[in-house]
Amino acid sequence: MNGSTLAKHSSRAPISLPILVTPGLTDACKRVKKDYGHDEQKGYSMKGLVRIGWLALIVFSLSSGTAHAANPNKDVTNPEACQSCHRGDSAHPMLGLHGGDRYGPTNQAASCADCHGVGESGSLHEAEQTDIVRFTHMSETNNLSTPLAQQNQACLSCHLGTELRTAHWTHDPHANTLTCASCHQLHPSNDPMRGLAKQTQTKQCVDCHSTLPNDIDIFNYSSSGGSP
Amino acid sequence: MSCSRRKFIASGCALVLGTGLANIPLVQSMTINGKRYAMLHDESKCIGCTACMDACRETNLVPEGVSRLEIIRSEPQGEYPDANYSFFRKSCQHCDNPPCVEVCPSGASFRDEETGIVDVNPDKCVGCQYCVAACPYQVRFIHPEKNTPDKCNFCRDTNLAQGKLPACVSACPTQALIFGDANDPASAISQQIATKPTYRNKVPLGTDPQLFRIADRNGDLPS
Amino acid sequence: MSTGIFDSVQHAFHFDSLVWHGPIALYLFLLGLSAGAAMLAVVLKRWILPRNNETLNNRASENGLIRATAIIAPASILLSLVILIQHLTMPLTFWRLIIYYNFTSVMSIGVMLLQLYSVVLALWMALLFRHELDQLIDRWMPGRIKNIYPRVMQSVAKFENTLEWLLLGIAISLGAYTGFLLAELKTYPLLNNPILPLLFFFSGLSSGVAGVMLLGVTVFKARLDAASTHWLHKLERPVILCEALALAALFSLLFYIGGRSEVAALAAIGGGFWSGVFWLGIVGLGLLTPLMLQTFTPAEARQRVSFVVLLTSCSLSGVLMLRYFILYAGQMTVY
Repeated sequence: MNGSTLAKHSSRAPISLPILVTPGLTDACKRVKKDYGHDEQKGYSMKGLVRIGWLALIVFSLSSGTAHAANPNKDVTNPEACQSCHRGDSAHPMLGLHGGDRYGPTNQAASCADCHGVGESGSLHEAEQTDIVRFTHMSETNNLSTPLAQQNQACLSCHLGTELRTAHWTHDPHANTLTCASCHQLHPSNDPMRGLAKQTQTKQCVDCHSTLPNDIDIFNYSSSGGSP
Repeated sequence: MSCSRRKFIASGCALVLGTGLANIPLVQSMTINGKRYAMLHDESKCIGCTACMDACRETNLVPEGVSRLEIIRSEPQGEYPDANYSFFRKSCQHCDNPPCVEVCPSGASFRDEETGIVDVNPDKCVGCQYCVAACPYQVRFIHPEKNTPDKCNFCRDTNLAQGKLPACVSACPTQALIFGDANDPASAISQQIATKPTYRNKVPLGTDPQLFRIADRNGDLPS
Repeated sequence: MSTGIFDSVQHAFHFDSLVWHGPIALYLFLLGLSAGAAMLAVVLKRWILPRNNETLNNRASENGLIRATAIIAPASILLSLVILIQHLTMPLTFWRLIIYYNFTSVMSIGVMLLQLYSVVLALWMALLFRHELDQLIDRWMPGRIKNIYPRVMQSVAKFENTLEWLLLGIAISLGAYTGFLLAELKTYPLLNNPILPLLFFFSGLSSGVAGVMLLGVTVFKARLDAASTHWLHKLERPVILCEALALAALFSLLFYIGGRSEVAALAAIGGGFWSGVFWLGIVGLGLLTPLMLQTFTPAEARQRVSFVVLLTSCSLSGVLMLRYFILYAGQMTVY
């Protein structure tokens, strides 16, 4: 993630910023979190967070353009507000890979909302759970999930397709069929896809593709429908 | 001389293709005793993972820096997120009429009549590299440790000798590689060749390659 | 700019489809030179020298041009073989080439030709330098060899006529062989065509003419006004014209075939390092300069040794560059 791609969003109103955040908002996301190594028993006071978050959001959007809301606990651009519920643990801090990212002319810290969005018209996070962008492994896509295109759009608003292609060609053929979260994890401090040895990369392909049905037409395969 | 032959074969192929009998007559044009091992690379199933390359290297102890088998990935076709790739297997084609065997001055390069496999006998080789230059598929290399030409031999002395499939075939996660006896009409490869539209590389050169390919749907073929 | 030129030269000598490197070009050049010189040797001795009554005491070995062929033919074949063996990835196994044969292989046929050539050339030279050899044997060899030697020479002498024809035939075959060796490579459209043997034959002969002329007039003091020298001098132009014609035919054919052949031809002479070598070195220096010099130099200037040195140097460099050009540019484009 470099400054130049992030800087593009600096001109947007804060409310529409793509948002970085924490999973654990839905059952599906909780399953993802389990993958991350979280202890589900800990639980999260989601409702509380949501109230605070959305209150903050409303205040924030009303004051559109001002950098900080009055109460930092109600500011969704402030990760601490979300983290008061979505805590993670020391081994898996909620602010992982993108936690240190700063962008824009004000050198703003990346916030949960940068990736996860703030939902429609500020109602969300509590009642209409579908409104927050949930990043899910492809195997977890279900009715509650954020559609694949929407999930990936959250990432693509910063990560350009051409850059993804340069980083690894496999981004291209999977763009329409896999969610980014199927491979990448951002809440751990290191994405497991980073710095893989060549042979391990190959193993990733083999592990996944050998489970696909033999007669599958990989060139017309789409995960969005839930079945090939 | 070889030009006129090339033209003759090319026009012959065009004729055969024109009548829609591209595969069957060409495949069975030669009668050979015993087996004739062939391979089919289904490019429409290949995902370019290169597991075959790793398996080949491991099984046949191919040193880094050279390879018996390469999967060549095309340039991306289309723009993200709708880009696609084609994959092309570069390895020995085990030609029925192999130029490498024809030019070898000492008979070190040979085609095993029992199996149709083209291989190298290092005990007869002097290392003139005529075969390396003569192979139109550019699949031969000088083995850095043995100093003799090396290339795919369908695992003739490794897996095949132990009654196993070639390493690349068993490693493929999508069953994009099929190996078998093209002389046996019941074999999986014969069935595939008989029922699916296959193509072979550089057929007009008259080499009669035994590496068959099923084209993917991405359009242009790399040469 | 300088790095650009450096890169372009680097690229001209190092590319993926390159299998045979520079030493092979040198090998082909020396083989062509040897074959050319051997052809001239036979023709000079059999037809040219007797016709003009130049053989003093029936000893052709006294003639400067013949002496030049007798040095060039064996020396360059020996050197070429050393280079060839050196270029093998396992030089110490070269003897396998003499044990194992493959009759479909141009190279294997070449190995047979080379062995035959070496023997025939050695015998023919022994007959040619019979008197010199007599003296050497007499002075240096032990008695037993002295006893056997005259009988051996007598029996060899019986076949002198056959040996000469054989040598001529083998030399012509070897000259063409250098081209067939590359023409057999189906991989490369620029090489895989029937004109190449013809081109290499003529350019080998051209290098033979130039080499014999150069060495003959400088080292062996062949007289420029002698009829044999005059004959060789007159031979230069038609041989160079034949070479030019073959070269033109080669590229016409490639463009006529089209497809990859055309791509190969364009890549070779349509730009880049090797096209510079082709137009400036081969066409300019190797073909046009000697033809111009021959045509436009006044007769008296042509009788100077310096003129001969200039002319033959141009031809020889042209042929050497042709070998490098064909080998490298030929391997640039693959079917």
